Amino acid sequence: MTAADLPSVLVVDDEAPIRLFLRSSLEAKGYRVAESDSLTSARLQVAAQAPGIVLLDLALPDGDGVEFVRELRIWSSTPIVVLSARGTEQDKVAALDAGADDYLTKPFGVSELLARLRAAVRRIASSAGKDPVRVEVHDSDGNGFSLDFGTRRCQRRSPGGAIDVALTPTEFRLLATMMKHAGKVMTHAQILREVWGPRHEQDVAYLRVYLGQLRQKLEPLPARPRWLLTEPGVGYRLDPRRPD
Amino acid sequence: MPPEPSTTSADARRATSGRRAPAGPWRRELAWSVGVTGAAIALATLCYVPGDLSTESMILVLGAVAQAMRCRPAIAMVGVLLGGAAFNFLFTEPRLSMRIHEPQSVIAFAVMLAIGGVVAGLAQRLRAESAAVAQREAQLEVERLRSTLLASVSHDLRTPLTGITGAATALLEDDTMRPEVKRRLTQGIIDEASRLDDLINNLLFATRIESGDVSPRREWIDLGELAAAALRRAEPQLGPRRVTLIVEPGLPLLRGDPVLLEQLAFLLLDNAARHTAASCTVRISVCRRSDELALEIADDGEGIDPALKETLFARFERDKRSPGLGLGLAIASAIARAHDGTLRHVPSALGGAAFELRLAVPREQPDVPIEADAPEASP
Repeated sequence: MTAADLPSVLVVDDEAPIRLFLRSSLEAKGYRVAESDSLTSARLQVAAQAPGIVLLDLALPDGDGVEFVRELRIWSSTPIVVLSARGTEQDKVAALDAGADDYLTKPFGVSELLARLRAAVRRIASSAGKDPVRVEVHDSDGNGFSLDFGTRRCQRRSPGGAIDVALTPTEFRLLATMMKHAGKVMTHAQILREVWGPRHEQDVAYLRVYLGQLRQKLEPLPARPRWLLTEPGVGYRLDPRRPD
Repeated sequence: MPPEPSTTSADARRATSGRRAPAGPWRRELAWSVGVTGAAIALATLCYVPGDLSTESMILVLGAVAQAMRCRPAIAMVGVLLGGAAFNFLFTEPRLSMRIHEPQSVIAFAVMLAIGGVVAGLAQRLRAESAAVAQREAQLEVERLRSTLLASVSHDLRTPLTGITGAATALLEDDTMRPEVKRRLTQGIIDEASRLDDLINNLLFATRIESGDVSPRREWIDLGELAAAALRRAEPQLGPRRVTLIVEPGLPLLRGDPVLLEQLAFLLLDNAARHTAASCTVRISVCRRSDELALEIADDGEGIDPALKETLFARFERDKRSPGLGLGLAIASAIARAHDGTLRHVPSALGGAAFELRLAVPREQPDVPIEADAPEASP
């Protein structure tokens, strides 16, 4: 991906040092950056400039960040990555359920920031084109797995070669959901709604059991997963860890 | 930093309850007064010898004093009146009548009343004073804890800040620095900043748990999954140490707060990293022990200083050999208690230190629809 393809980023944070850090590290990677120090100015900027991605601090002095996400989602599908401190998991879940795409726990490093932005960019690209037919994750050791949405074929790869993995219908739906949103954290309610339906939004136990089963079938070390990761108190993330 | 250190509210509560204790409700005082006086009357009746009333009167005076010591003056008077009336009725001539024959009895009765009143008044003042002393002591204890916390926190916050400031100014002022020196200084800034973040997290957790601000959520959790998440987060702290994670297959789910329990596992891993050399091994295991699940984090380091074993889980207790605020284990054990579980220091199979969390397995597991392993893939 060349710099010209990179979307513009709107940074919404009331702390000048954090805006400075975000601006300098993003511009160094070729992103164009605009800044807002309040929700009021962010509303104007979003309407006027239509940024490609919004980086939003949840704790702004002039209003509720979650409410801002909800407002924006009424008319825009611009990816929103929320910035929030540890210990505020409920706020993160609220923001994600309101339509935010992802979150970063403060303090974070540049590599983490860029990885989240890349994931967001990929999602824009894939939603602009047609849905992918096949998704694959792998690490540098040659371990990994792939899922073909059309034929429902799931293959597990190891340095020795590839083998077919038999998935139950629910396991397939769960893996497909996680693969479709690779890189993005999914809240418990979002996964449960997509896989089991809206009546089961609260049945977290389903996820505990079925994520465990998927890890047993797909992870080289199921007890220490590399791809199907737990975000305690928030949800799950399939981390594609593409060496890009 | 939170404006109110976590220690204050719990200690303040203790101090308040200490103040209320001595002045019991009047009903209990009345029961005590009547009971003691009654016992004195019964004893005097047993000792009754016609003609000599000295024993009986002594017993009744003692009874009057004894009951007055635990009562407010008004109620003490009730006991004294009761004792006097009984003395008159039972022992003085004419017996079994309330008529007063000798003027001496009236004087004796007045003396008894006076003694009862004085004793009750003195006892009440004494109680008030000792309560005030206890309260002052509790307050002093709170103050002492607060100043320990402040001293400890400011020292521990300043140490990494010194490192950060030093490295940053060096980077700013020297343009001719060799790349590897630059890298080392920058890495130092990152490490110190992450130490600061850990400290602040611990302080926040300590405040929230001790003020009773967070009651743990109770949802279905997989303890092995949380141990893996904690291990992932603790990877920078553990660095080159060999780490193994063993989770017994097919473990039941538990009820608990995923954020707090992951933090507990993280704190134990961080603790292991702090107290072991980089060449050490850390082993995490999750397994079933009859009706409980056990999460154990063991290492093959030097183990725990025997002098510290007693106070291991107390706030601000720390091994002087290593940095830290001494809050980690206190928070971990508070999280365990909030889940009705236990966190203990146990003998380590690896030879170093080991900590074990035990949580009860709920009687019923959730109802999760299970499917047959039907092959979905078409070759």
